[in-house]
Amino acid sequence: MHFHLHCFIQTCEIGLKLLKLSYLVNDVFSSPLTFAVFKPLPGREQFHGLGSMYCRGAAAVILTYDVNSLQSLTELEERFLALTDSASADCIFAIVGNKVDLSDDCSLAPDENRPGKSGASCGSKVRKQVRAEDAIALYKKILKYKMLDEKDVPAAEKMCFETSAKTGYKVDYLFETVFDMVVPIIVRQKAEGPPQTVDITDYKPAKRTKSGCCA
Amino acid sequence: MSVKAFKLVSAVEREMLMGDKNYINIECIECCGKNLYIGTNDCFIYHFLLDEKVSTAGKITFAATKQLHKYLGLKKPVSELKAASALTRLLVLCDNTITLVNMINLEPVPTGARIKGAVTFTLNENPVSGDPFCVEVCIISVKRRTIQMFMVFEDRVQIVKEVFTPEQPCAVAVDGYYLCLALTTQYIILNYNTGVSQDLFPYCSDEKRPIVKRIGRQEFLLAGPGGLGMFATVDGISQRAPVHWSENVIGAALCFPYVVALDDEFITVHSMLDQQQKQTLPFKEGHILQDFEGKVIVATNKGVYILVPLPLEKQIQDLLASHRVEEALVLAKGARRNIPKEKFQVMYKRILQQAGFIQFAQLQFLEAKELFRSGQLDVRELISLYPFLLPTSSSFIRSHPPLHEYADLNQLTQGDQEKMTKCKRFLMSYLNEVRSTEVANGYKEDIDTALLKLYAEANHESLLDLLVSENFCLLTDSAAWLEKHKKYFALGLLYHYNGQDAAALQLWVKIVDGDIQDSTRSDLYDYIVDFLTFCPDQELVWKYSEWILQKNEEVGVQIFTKRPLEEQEKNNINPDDIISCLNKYPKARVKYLEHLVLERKIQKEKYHTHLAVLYLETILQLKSVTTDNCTETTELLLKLRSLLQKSDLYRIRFILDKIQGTDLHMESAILYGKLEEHEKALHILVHELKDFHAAEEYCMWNSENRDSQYRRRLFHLLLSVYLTPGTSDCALVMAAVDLLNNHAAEFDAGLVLQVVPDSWSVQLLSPFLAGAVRQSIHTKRMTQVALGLAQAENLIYKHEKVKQKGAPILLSDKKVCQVCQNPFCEPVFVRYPNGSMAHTHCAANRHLNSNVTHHSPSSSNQT
Repeated sequence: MHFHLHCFIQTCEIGLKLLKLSYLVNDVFSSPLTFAVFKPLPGREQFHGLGSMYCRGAAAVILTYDVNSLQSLTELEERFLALTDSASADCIFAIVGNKVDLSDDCSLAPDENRPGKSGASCGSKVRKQVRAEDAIALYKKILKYKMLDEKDVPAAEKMCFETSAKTGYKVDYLFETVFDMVVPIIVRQKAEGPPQTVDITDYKPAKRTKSGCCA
Repeated sequence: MSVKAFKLVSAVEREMLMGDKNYINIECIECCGKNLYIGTNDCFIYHFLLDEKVSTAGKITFAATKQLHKYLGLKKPVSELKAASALTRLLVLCDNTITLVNMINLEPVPTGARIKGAVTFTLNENPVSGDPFCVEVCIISVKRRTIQMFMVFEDRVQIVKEVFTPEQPCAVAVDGYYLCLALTTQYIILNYNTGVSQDLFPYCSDEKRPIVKRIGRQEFLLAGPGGLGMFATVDGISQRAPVHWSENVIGAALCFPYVVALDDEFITVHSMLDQQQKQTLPFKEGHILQDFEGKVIVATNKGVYILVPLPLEKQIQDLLASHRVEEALVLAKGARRNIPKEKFQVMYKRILQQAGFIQFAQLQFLEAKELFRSGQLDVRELISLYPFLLPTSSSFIRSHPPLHEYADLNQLTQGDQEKMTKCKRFLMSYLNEVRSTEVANGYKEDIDTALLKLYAEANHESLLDLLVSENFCLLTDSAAWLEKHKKYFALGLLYHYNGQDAAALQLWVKIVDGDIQDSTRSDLYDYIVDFLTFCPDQELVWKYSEWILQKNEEVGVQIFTKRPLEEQEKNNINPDDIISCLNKYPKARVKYLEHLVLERKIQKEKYHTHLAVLYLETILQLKSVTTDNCTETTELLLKLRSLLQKSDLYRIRFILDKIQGTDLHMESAILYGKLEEHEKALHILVHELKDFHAAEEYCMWNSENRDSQYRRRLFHLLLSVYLTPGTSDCALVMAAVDLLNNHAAEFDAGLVLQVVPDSWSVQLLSPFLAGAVRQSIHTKRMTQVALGLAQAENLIYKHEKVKQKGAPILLSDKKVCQVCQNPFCEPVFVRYPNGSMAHTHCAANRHLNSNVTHHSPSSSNQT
């Protein structure tokens, strides 16, 4: 399966970006998937009522936090979880800790898929604030919130990622994993009914889109 | 901002409506084709015909002609008008009642059909009934929280459905079975067929007037919080990002690709394609904004105006003129569905090209290239920007209207040399990319010539690649340019490509001679040699052969020696001519003869003799100069020997005469060998040179490809030379012994024993003798074996023969003699070759009067 990104980007002032993405299934272009990328804007909470318009029927939600900020993880829960109420019932959740390039976590082998980062000295790096366990805990919390059984959904370890949009570290892996799960569902739904929307809730949309993550 | 997408044109002036009666206000409008209906607050309906007029300058004006007006007699304002043109009915909402009136004369239908108790109503533009003579009307009822659906026919109405809503509805739009409703606190989508509802988003309808507008199949436009225009599908999903209006929007209309909104002071225009605000028109006291079949009408209390969309092409051109490429392309792409396909493609291509030039002028080459490519730009448009690049013969004329505003590159870069270089570099890479694609079809000459000029000017290495591969450079134009830039080597290549090898060579020779300067190739001489080697024109080869050989005879001779094989086979230059030409250049001459004799193996006596003589003379000359053997002499000697040995063609006597009296003993020995004068040769080898190894070698190679007898004769000869009576040289004796012991097989032992001096001990010759005896015994035994095998074979054949002669013959009482027809009474019989049997006596009788040969009884089988 191949993906062809960046067909259309619509932005607006409520902290929302819409991307349209076409994907190839058996060498045929599908009608585009819609990505809605949210970014919290201070003092703009009143628009969250509108957010559900862009999340309705979503097949996947990617929640992104900053591994160097515990607050960003808690904000995810406070601000965005409610948005997912309108998502599809069998929606897939992924929790992504971004900006690992800034942290000093040694569990990341420096040679592993991190182009352009070799020169950076460890001295400028900060201690990672959010551990992988915290993300897994959030994932389980979400399942509880959505009243889903852990047995029916992908395992927490599989759906929690740590990436760097800046260096591209594991970004492809993230999207490939999500697409591999989502596209078959969408193809099936397409055959059954009206088009669906894939929505992504993202903490830092600007970086995400720039990184050109999907090949 | 500030695209001019619409123009505001007045349609109905206030004087036409109300004259000086200031209390009259416009309440509602409806437009259907050319018919414009206006409802007023004093319960009048006005009917106008709108005529669109286009002036010669392209300016659009509207002239409204009043048809009639009608008083409904209720003293209530006319709140809504909707035309149903298929029924020629106008639906009029006044005093909470919808009446049907004739569209033409505004008379109520005679049946008096009406819908009572409607607060507001809307028509279903995506009807579900399928009946063309019926319209579906949806009303918000005066009953609380009630929506009713009606079917309206020419002269009757029929209620279809009544649905209840959770809150009081304020506004409604319909698409198929879907109702989009603005309730008191939120918007919802309600399917009145299934009753399923979907909440959209909260909105306080008491504070701000909600807007619900159907904008297309299954899609609505809603006024959202914070002045946002939200899009929603019937599934409750927003597939477009919202547009940002002002907080107090009164009305919204759609005119693809724009969303038009009205507030107290302005009409704002947003693009649905990129959500950006494109235009703002000041418009005070507006209170109605509606679109009717693509016509956007806006009204104040007193007057009606039409928003005339400017042609998309004009809008796009305006965007391009202000260098807003991205927006222009988005708009052009968005316009695809509004313009016939053929026309669109032409227009879109042109826009892409224009956009390309805008990016180009900003030195955004990557973007420009992509736009040129997708816009299928005639590359000459781009080339023509660069002064002098197009060939003078090119028939190209820039397209009109022009794709860009630049006269040439100088104007574009304003003389900035750095920018100029960048532009040239871009053109180089661009032309190089397109020259082999179909874009270049039809004007390959122009492209390649331009590319050549660019390369030459920039001193680019690809210039040579271009010229040596297939190209379409125009000769006169390119030649002048290359000369101007002193690219003489390249110019030569150009001449060569155009079949003018003479001109090319003339140039190159001048470069080598230093008459003109061009440092492209430091090895130009070698290049010319190579060129002449493969040059099919023999006259040219002759013309420049002198020059070539004078420069370097050893390298230069390649023009003769390395000529391609196919040419050598067919249309060969006469070797004699070459040799006579090379007479002045001895080294070249030797090389050429070597080429003839050794490489091409030409079997002609004169070349072989000539070469041998040349070797010989050189050796002798060298020897006369220096006494010690320098490497050159040794090399030549080896060559000479090899030639003398391997060739059979040279004149042996002639060479021998020359060699006589020199110290070239080995060579004379070879020559004697060739003359079959082996004794002389071996004598020289043994007595003059005392090189016994060479003598043995001599025997070997001279007897190569001869029978063993010949070889044996040579070895015996050598032995006899060793043992020449009178010489008692110990070394010779030793050599003889060694010879015998080492080559026992080559001798006839009997003969040897006769020659060998009696004084030699058996010990001395024991290896030879042992070998000879063994050989002899071996031969004997081998012969015996062969004899035995032959006898055995013979026996086998005999057996075969007997077997072939007959199958067993059965003799019984029933068999009769072929001659007398009587049975046999004794076991003896005669068998004929054809298998028939007879009594011996009958056969004997018969034998007398016939020539049938009978077989003896011994060869028959008895049973």
